[in-house]
Amino acid sequence: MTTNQNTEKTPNNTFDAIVIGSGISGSWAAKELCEKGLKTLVLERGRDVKHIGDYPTAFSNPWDFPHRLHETQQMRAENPVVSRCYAFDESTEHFFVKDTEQPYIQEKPFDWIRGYQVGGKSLIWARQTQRWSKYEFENPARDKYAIQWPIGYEDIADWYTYIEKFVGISGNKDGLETLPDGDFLPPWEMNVVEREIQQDILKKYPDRQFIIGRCAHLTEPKEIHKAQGRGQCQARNLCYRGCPYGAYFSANASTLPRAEQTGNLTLKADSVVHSILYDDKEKKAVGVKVIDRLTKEVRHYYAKIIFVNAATENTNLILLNSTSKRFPNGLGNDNGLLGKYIAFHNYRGSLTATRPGNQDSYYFGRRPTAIMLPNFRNVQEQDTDFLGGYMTFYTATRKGWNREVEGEQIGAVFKEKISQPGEWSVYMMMQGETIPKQENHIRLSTDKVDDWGMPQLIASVDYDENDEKILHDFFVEGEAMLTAAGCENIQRGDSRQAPGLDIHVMGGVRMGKNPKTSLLNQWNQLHHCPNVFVTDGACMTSTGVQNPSLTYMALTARAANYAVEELKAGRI
Amino acid sequence: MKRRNALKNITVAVGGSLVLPATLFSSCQSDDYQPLFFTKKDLVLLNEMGETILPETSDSPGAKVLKIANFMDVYVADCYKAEQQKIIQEGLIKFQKDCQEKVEKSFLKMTTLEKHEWLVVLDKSARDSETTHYFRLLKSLVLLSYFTAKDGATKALRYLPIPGKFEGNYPFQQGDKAWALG
Ligand SMILES: Cc1cc2nc3c(=O)[nH]c(=O)nc-3n(C[C@H](O)[C@H](O)[C@H](O)COP(=O)(O)OP(=O)(O)OC[C@H]3O[C@@H](n4cnc5c(N)ncnc54)[C@H](O)[C@@H]3O)c2cc1C
Repeated sequence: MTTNQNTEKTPNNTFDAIVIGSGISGSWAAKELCEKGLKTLVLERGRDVKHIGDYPTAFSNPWDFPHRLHETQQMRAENPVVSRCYAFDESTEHFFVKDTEQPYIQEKPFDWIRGYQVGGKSLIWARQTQRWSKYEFENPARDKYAIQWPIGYEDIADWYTYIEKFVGISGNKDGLETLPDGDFLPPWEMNVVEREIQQDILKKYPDRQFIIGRCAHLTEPKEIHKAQGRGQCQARNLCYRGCPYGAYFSANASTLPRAEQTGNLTLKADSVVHSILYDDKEKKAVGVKVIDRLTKEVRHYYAKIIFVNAATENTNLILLNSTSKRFPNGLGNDNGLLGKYIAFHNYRGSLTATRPGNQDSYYFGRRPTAIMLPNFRNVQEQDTDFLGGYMTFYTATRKGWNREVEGEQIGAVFKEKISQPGEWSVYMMMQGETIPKQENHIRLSTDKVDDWGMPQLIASVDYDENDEKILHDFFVEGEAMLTAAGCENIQRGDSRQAPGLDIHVMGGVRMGKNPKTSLLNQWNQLHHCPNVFVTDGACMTSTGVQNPSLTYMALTARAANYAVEELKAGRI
Repeated sequence: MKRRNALKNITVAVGGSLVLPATLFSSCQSDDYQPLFFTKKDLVLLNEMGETILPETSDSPGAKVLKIANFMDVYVADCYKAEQQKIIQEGLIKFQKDCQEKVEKSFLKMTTLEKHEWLVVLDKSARDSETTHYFRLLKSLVLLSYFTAKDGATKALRYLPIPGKFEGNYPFQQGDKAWALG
């Protein structure tokens, strides 16, 4: 029987470590484990995507696409969920999971945006990278809206540096306590109007210093980046198609090739991890069960340690689906909290405005980042009527041809006018913290399965009063700041977008000191199954206000290095 | 439809760059373009309206030689909602009737000046209209089709696929073109 060959432990299917998922966090786990000498198997459910060779649209012009990058009715009808993601279009659709591919159940509206391929969402992320500050680690417990983090900023600071060096993060050393500086490559520039707005706001609000965004782009590659075969950012801003210059961080351009170089990596694409195998006698996890994406064949793989990096929703799904006599409710789930305390980022609010003047000034190139303001609410103490905080972002650009002009709007003169840039317009948006709550959860369907026999995911996540208050605060403060900066025609926009579309979904397997109230310890090990590590967004105790992936990477590298030590010491 | 499926299948990457045989797009550029939504006669009319809105000027071609109606047709067929398609379809009929009633000849028979003056009037009423006026849709289709076409983007605007750097204080003089890519 082939089944036995595929599931029995043999030298061929046995490794030191297994990593589930090859995206931002999984590729970091793979790199660290491989570099430390562990024979590592990375299991990826999606197809293989080779750096450069599999970026078919990287050099295409807008007119090369049948609809010049505009959405068709058919695309929207077939993909109501993924087509709501701003980065999904004719040039990028091959890196996104289509709605029909893997159905799930929205008990409450939830947009699940997925990228299933080698490299995961590292190919399609927006690459904004800010460190957490001590306030994100400490304030949730101080203000009693989350359990205490088992680690603080000082535990992770060096790991941030370690990641930043390898990834390449551009940024300015701004010396702000609320957004600690890192090991930066040269920063991007603000344009003239962005700079004026920044100065105007600072005059009126001395504690609100907007800074140039920090992002994972090589503004000036160093040896460590050149050794990865990566080059300088060309300011094309076509990043979501995959970067043929390797100028932004993706697993495909950076961590996976590095892991491969060690000779210790085995990467298997098209391998859908179904569950983690727990051995009641050995009292630990011994391997994983995989369904071949194409043939649906079942295979088992074995290893001493397992890293779960399938991205928040799938990591929860895999753990919930990993049942055994010891863990009838999912791996490590003695307290019944697995899948609960899901939180996300509140992106609902935006403001648009115009700003008169500066007609003699323009910009050159397309910068891959925005102007950022660290959180200024409830920082030193709880000083508003809501919990948590938010970051604010803005950009200023000159209007293009799609605008009204003075005088006749037909003919040669009109054409000349709209061929030139128009007045400056300003776009401002928020990125708000949401509160982890027990009722916001993910669970498994008891009767519906997907094509691979996996139970379907049920998402039950919603906004609450606190999110409305944060949204309102952003509108009021954002308007006040734009007004102080001389802006006009300020207009509010509430996208009312469903949770999930932020693509910063976190929690469900949270870290904590107490096994009664958390799933993972301070090293991202399952309290009750310590040879399993969870280091993607699922581990997050609270969401912070920063873009999260840099923190996932730092937590992953930290946990992987700890895992190797523990393994060598024979403790796991 | 077939044309577009074929397109998907031949997207082959060679060393990271997309190689699309030029012949592939010739069907939508040449006169044997088979419309998906409009009639061939409509396309002639739309190209002519396009030329009136965005005529040839000293440094860039007009809408007509770019055959902007072909992409307008693809866009209306594939990207428009049914209610927008209806507005456009009924609008084109009304447009032709209004030409006869208000200018007393068909649009194609008007002089360049007559076309211009008539569309200025129509554009004004479209912008004042509280409901979605067909001409507002048509005009935005003309602009979209023109400025995203190769010649529109590279000649009427400045198209810079690989800037190589970003500068936040780049001098601008009256008359300089806008960048084609935001
Ligand atoms: C448009 C967009 C913009 C974004 N912008 C930013 C930003 O600016 N800054 C930021 O910090 N973050 C951003 N993000 C979020 C960022 O992409 C994620 O936080 C990050 O990719 C998470 O890393 P991960 O390793 O957990 O998941 P992923 O990168 O998604 O990787 C998970 C991998 O696991 C695989 N997998 C899933 N299930 C299984 C299974 N059962 N078996 C085997 N493999 C499996 C998936 O196929 C995938 O390859 C953005 C995301 C998107 C889509």
